[in-house]
Amino acid sequence: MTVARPGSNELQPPASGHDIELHNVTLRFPRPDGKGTLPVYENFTLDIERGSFTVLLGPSGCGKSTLLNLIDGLLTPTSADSVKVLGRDVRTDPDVTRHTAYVFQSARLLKWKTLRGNVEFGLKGLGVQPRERWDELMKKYFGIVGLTDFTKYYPHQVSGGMQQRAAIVRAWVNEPQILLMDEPFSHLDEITAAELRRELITLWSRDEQRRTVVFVTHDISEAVQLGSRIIMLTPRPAEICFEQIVDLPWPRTDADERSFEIEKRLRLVFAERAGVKA
Amino acid sequence: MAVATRTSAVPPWLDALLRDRGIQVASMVGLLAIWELFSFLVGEFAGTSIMPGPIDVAPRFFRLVASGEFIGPLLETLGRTGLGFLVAFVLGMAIGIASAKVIVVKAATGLTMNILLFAPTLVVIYLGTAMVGVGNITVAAVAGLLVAPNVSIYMRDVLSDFDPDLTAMADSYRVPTRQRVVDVYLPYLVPSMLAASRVAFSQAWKIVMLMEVFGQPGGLGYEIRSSYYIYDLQRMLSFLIVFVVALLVVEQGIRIAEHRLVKWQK
Repeated sequence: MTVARPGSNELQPPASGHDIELHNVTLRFPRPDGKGTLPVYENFTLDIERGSFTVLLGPSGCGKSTLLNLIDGLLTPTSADSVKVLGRDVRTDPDVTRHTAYVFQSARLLKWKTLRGNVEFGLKGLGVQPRERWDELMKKYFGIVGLTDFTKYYPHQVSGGMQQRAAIVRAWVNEPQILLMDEPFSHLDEITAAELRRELITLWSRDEQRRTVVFVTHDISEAVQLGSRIIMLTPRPAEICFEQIVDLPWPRTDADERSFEIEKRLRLVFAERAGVKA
Repeated sequence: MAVATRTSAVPPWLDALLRDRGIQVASMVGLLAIWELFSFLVGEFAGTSIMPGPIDVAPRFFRLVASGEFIGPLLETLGRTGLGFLVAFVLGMAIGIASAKVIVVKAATGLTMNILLFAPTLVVIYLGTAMVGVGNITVAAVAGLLVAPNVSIYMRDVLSDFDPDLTAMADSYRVPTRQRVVDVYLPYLVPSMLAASRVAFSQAWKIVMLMEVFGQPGGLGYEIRSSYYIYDLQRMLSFLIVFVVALLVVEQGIRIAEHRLVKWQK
């Protein structure tokens, strides 16, 4: 099987300029008691531009992670006009999700493999990078996140922050056009999380060809620090209740007045619109 | 002051294995002392010398080892144990994996496994011998039936504990079935398989011994039985020591395999 590599001709940005197109997506889960269904999304529409750092902000349980699973083809919607990734519908063309890589809330490393072994596991699975490049790629990305000396360690031998770094490498090393990140720093202490946010922004902004990142969080200041576009979701069934373009250079800090202003505004809107529905 | 560093030629897993040896030797000496004291007290208060102590048994034991007389019965018991273990392990693994994956198999085998688990060993041995008769097939069948439930229930529970998040991770990275089996499921199962095999072997070993004591010809159990009939307790205890030592050796062998195969564990 041949798979198009990111950057190759097959992967021209779709004419729409949107790497991700969700149109009229409806997803309902059966209720645990078997009576009826639970609507998570009702006719939900969202386009995500190529090269953007889009943050999905919303209260816990509103279906943010579910949205990432829909994009990655891990979940099939109850109905939808389109669930397109790079112009191809993931329902009919699941192979297109080889150009997406996922970083989860917890590292989800295989504890019987070294950090390097875990990264190789992802490389082998997605199969988009030719094997000759693996060494060079791993060297590069382990280096950027400061894990060069720890590639032979097993997950239990390193800290939680280092495990999450390895998980980021596992995703990034594939140089996917789209990166899905599901609250990747929420399990870490604030200092490590801040460090990793900085590294993430460095990684992302350093690429000549900007990757499209979809980043899920419930943390407003994290959203403002990272996002070029912030999308606020309501509780189930999730709807977009607010959008904010953040046109500030990285790295951003809380001390910056403009980002502080944006954060303040978001907090107000969040309390007003993203609260629990009556 | 320079800190003394231990430069060791042995690999770390062996080093860890040997580290507790001092304590192990001390506990063995203690055990022998208690045995000797017990035998002395029995002699003093019961007025008989029926319970030989380690000092009485030692010469007989060394003669047994030196003469090589123990090899035949030992190999016979080991062979039967291997056979019973094999049946139990294959049967247990198959049922365990099937019942973790297929809900119908779990429902169909759950109760049977529990009944076998609680069935009194001796009753099954008698039943098996009465129905199938004396012979190695009986031994394998009885040991297999009695030990398989432990393996299957253990493996079923281990598989049920598998983290669904890892499956989702593998889905997301489009990992094909073959890579999943080799890189995810097998490494996940190997430690439990080794642990299960350690337990299964020692159980099969004891069951085989029991069957030999209660009627199977040959093997260590037969030697122990015949020693008992002629009231030669020194000989009986010598064979008992051979039994225990052999079991310890096999158990350590599996432990070493565990250390080498499962070096990623804490």
